[in-house]
Amino acid sequence: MKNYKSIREVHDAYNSGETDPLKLTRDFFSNIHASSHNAFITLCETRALKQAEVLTQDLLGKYAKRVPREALPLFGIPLGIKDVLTIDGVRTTAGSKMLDHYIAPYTATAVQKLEDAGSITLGKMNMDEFAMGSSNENSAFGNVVHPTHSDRVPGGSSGGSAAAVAANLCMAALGTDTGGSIRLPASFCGVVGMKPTYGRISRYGQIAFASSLDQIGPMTRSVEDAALLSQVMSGKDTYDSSCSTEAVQDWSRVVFDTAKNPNAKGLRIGVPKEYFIDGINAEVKTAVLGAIEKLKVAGAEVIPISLPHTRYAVSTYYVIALCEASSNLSRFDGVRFGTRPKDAMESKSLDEFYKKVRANFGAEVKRRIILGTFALSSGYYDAYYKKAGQVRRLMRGDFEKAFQKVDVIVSPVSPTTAFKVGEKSKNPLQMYLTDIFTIPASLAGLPSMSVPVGRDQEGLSIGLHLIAPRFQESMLFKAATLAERLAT
Amino acid sequence: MAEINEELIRKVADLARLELKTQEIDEYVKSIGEILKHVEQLNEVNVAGVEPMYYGVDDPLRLRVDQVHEFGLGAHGQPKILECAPDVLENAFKVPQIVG
Repeated sequence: MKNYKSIREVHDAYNSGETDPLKLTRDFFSNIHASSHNAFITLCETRALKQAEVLTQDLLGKYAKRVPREALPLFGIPLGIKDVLTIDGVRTTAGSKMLDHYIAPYTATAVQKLEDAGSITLGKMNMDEFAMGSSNENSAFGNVVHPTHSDRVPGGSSGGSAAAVAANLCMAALGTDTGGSIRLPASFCGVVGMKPTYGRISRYGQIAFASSLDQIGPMTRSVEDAALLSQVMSGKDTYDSSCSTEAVQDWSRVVFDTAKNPNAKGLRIGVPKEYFIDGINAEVKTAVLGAIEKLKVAGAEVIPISLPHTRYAVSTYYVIALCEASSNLSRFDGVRFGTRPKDAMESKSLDEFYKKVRANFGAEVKRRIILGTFALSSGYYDAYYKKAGQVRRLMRGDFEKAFQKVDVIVSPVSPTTAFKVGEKSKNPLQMYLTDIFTIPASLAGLPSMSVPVGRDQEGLSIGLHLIAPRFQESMLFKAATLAERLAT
Repeated sequence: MAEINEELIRKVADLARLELKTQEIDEYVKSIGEILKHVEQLNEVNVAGVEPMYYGVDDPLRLRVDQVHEFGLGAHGQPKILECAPDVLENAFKVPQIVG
């Protein structure tokens, strides 16, 4: 089947009669069944084909063979949904044995918005358990295989989503990002991945990992598609009080206009010295600096900046996120939902019952719950959780100061390209350090994205990381479009 | 900062209602010890007078009208919320006897 480069291309193909939603959906399922990437945990074949059939009938009938792009911007677009997001009547596992048989009774707001805009849900994407991981080696349903190099990890925790988009198993996918879980796999797999400002997209229906950091975001083949999906999903939601009432702009229009006449004049790009340390892979450094140079040649002003608290990012994040996770995962008690072992009902006490049920968690999840519980416990709360909260505010201050001088901040997404399977899985701290560049934007709640700008000698993708001020997705998408057009 | 040893891990695991095998405890003593040693670097930072940032939003929590939305019945006529329950008895979640 054809490898469409964007949603716009698919809509053109629908208008020309080259294909239709039903044919395209069937083609994707063909690819999925033939693939060995293990990108999906659950396929929604019956449901998707039904969606596709109705859309195809409507296209030929009431829409007279013209895709209604204004009313239904995602008309007939087959998507993958990370399995941490609920869909009514569909198995939702969060990559965990704990929810192996959980059929969600409601649909996440973000997913509902996409389907209301005409999208088709192909299935639920594989992921690190409860979104905890950077390599998709922590799933209870097996590793996700890198789209082009089977000895490499696809990145995590949204590994299935990234691999599927790159391997032409869906047009685009939803991931979630807490410390880099969209941007890292996007960089490793060679796709676009975007994390919005904290509060842009409702978290209702997103199984919580760390509530002050979690965000849903698109993983796509182009910056324009990322803008379109973000736009459709963003906006206030009664069911999520942390979801902002900030107005949503026409970001796909920003991308379209920028792409028509890509001009980097006037764009002030901040390059933080703390992100270009020793330990970055030489080819990653070359590719990222090369992209920055191309933007400079195209008229951008490159301004060196400092984000002095960067070195504390991993420590700060892994205290705060894990504390929040230990609280969020306390709901998995096997009472109202969750997998109960057969002998659970024989428990002599509630504690024994809870412990039997919570044995369903994998090793990394348990490690994080223990760490988080410890850091919140009596005698340690101030030294760990409160201290990390204070450093977090200082890190946010670093960005606010920098954004007085620059429009966008760029860096590598990660110190390396996709590493080998098993290379870091035995060393949790080493695994945590892969998130060093993505974490600060998460802590500060800033919109950021990964745009592929090159490949290393092995053919592995290198992503450029872009960060914009809070609620300045317009600036982020403009800069990302310029990077996509001028710097790859 | 704290010394991470077997006793501490056991105590914390118990707080989190997690049952750990001996080799798991050994592994967590090692890996959690390493992680917390790295975290010690936060002690270098001067945080005097800095308000901790715990939330992703600046605005105070927004309130809304407390309007009940009926979740409704499932396919088999019982409350829909029971459909994802591991064990059900009449219209209730079934758990082991806890009291008495």
